Amino acid sequence: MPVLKEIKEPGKKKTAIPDNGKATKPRVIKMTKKMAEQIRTMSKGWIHIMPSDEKWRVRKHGSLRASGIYNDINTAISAAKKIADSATNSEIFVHNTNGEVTQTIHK
Amino acid sequence: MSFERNVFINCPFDNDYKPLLKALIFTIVHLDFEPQIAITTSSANVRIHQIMRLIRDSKYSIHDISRCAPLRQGELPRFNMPYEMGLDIGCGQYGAGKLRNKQCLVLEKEKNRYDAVISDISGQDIKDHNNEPKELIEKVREWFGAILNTQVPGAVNIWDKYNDCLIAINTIFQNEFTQQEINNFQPAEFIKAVKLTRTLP
Repeated sequence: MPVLKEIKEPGKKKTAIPDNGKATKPRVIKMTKKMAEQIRTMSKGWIHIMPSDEKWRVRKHGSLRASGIYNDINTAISAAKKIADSATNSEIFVHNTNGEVTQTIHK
Repeated sequence: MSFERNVFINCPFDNDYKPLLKALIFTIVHLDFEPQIAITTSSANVRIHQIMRLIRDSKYSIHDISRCAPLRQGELPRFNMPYEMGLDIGCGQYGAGKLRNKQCLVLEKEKNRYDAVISDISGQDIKDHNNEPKELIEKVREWFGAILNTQVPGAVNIWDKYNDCLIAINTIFQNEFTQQEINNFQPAEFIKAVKLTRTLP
């Protein structure tokens, strides 16, 4: 990230320019076709483990049906790993009750 | 966005509330509505005018008064949420035309807690979320399901999609932001991020 320095000329508004002298444009992140396709491919290998009524639901990304429901997290991870074996570049995400990811397991 | 699709959100912006706010924003966007939220950095005078404009422009509103309690012992509770809720209910009661059709949901953390502090609120649609994002999604979905003519997706479906969405957001923004920055997205940034994930195939 370039460091900005402030310059002021008489009669002109303050302008911020980066050290390299080139003006910076705010970058807008857009969903390009390429990015969408990359995420679509990656997400085929994503498996979610989510807490549910004091148990753990294992679910493939995008699926509305659970692959299984387990009493403890370790059994749920083992089950998720078995599902992951059948896909390439799988990732297992363990969520907390807020939905946030607390652990990511790369296969 | 039109009055008919706008949902005014009146809630705290602190970190403790963030998981609930994110789930609320996602649910609103997922149900094809447009969240309307005041920019917190505005000065007090500008902010209240912005809030009044958002209230006037939104058919629906969701007020979370679960944090109307002192943060520390000896402190006064925050009154912004009940104040803004009063403005909104008043707008629906005294306003003309489309404003008469305004609908609002009040969220609380526990059932009937409001009786002790704001008993005049009885008669409003009040639901408790127990400070759990999943329960908040259930209650907001239940409310939309009751007031809309169309069928809305089930709560488990929305919750699953929300979990999927958080992973998609991390993936989209991981080259531009640190994980902490993504977690700390301001409400307006989070709304944009959620909308971006909806463009995924």
